[in-house]
Amino acid sequence: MQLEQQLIELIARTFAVDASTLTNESMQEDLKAWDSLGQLRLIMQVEAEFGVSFPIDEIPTLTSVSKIAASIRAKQA
Amino acid sequence: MQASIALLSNINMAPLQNTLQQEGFAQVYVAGYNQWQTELLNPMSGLYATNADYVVMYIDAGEWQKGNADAGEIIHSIRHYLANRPHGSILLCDMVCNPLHVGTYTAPASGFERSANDSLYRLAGEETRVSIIPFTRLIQGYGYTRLFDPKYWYLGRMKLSAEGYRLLAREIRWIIQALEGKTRKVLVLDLDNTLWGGVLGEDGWQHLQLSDEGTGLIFKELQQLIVQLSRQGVLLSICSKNNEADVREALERNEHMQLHWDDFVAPRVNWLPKDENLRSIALELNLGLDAFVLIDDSPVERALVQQSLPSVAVPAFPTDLTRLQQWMLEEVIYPYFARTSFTSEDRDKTAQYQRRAARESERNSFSYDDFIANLKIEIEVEAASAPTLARIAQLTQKTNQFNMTLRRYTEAEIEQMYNSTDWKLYTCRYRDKFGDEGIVGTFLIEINGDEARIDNFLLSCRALGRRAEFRMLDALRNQLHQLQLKKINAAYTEGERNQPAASVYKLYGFTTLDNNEYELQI
Repeated sequence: MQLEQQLIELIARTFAVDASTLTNESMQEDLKAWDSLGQLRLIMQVEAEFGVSFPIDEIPTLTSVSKIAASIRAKQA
Repeated sequence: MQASIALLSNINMAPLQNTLQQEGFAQVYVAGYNQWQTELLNPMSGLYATNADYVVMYIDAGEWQKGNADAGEIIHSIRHYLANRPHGSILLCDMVCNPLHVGTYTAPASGFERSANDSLYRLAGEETRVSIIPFTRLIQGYGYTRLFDPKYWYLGRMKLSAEGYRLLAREIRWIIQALEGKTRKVLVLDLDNTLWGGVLGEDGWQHLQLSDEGTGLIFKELQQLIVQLSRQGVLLSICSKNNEADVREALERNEHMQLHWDDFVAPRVNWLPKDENLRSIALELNLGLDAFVLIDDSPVERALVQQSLPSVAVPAFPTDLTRLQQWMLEEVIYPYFARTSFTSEDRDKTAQYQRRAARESERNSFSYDDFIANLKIEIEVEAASAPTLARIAQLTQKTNQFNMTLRRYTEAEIEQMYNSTDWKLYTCRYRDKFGDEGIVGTFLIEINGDEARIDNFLLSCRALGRRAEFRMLDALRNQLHQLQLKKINAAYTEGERNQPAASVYKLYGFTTLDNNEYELQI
């Protein structure tokens, strides 16, 4: 499965929304539950599932499917 | 799972909400950050409004310690809540400090940990609505550095790692299952390469991998674990493709075998498909399939059962056999057979062992005579009554050490004797300062004119080593004297394990005749 799609499903699970409502362009502003606390819950899950670790200062900037995907790719490259 | 959960903490536990939902808990209420005390104390709080079945509390020791020397306030707040809310239980994580601290090798910070946890466990002991979630045990098993992740503390006051939250949620599910009695009842075992190494039909019972070394020890230890589980009341069954006669022989004759044919209920040793066998075991035991767990090393068999009977739990067997014992505990016993309390029978069993331990410790303090005198033993020998016949039969069946003649009787045979005028049956009760052991012995007496013959004299190993047998013979003699009998005849039949009974008649003062026979004038 494509990385973006995996992320979409993880976001859907974390915020209890339907994955079909999300796209590669989805971002923090689109979801009510994706607040600053939600951001931490989400990134924590991303780190656990993808086996990556983001620096503390980067975490608040990873606010969309594409930004998270880009950062994971950069770390896995 | 239907139960609703509220989370209270002095740190941010929001991620636990997700993991608990993944464990199947639908309603999870998370109190505001560090609002736990207000929530417990204020009847107008959100916590009171949720009417949660379980209030899960995690009080981070490091944070709590910054303002408190002990757990007193935690205890008081919980007691207040319990007094004001008739519904719901508290599941309280025990407290874990950072293993590293500034004092390095000086007096440990864990002094706090120990005294705080002492008081938490004491609270759980006093309040039936409080149970402890053994967070300390998780830390011991997985490690502090793995279950805590400082990064999210700095970002959002979360302390645990994703794995920490996941494992904590799993622990919470297990403990709630146990509290609600939603645990399974039957452990069904495959045999070849599951309960022992090797294939019985090919290797023979003498050559199974089951020993005190290497791979053989892995299986022996697994069996020991299963024996313990069955003592807790879990039923064991077999589902194995083998010849039943071979299996019986292996279970009875292999010296390393910890489990025996009689330990199993409704065993299925045949060549039928395993799903069919499981269905028939369930039918015979009159239990739903959701009461069953199957352990089988074969992925093919597991897949078959999983597909055909989805309510049977079929945990994946470990590929690394050295992990078998740990796997059994973590993937089978905790998830499916967890328990939080004992039934009265279990408790009695435990109490018996405890009384024995207490006696042992008394034993060390002074001489054997002092020990016996100090036990304040009371013996009662009485004519058997109908309700005790089952116990008498059981004693003849089960007693191996203090068993004079090794004659064993069924309950029906005992009943026949009981109803016959030629027989007198006596029960022996034992009581001492540690407690009542109930009926621990029996005399089966055949009357012939004015002579009594002790057909068998049995004493449970629970009462051995305390000279109780002599006091029982005293009492028997009195009883027989009242019946106007003149003489007692007795015999000892040597067996493999009844050495403890060998010289009792002689020591008591019977006259020794030939062939291990004895007589005594009354």
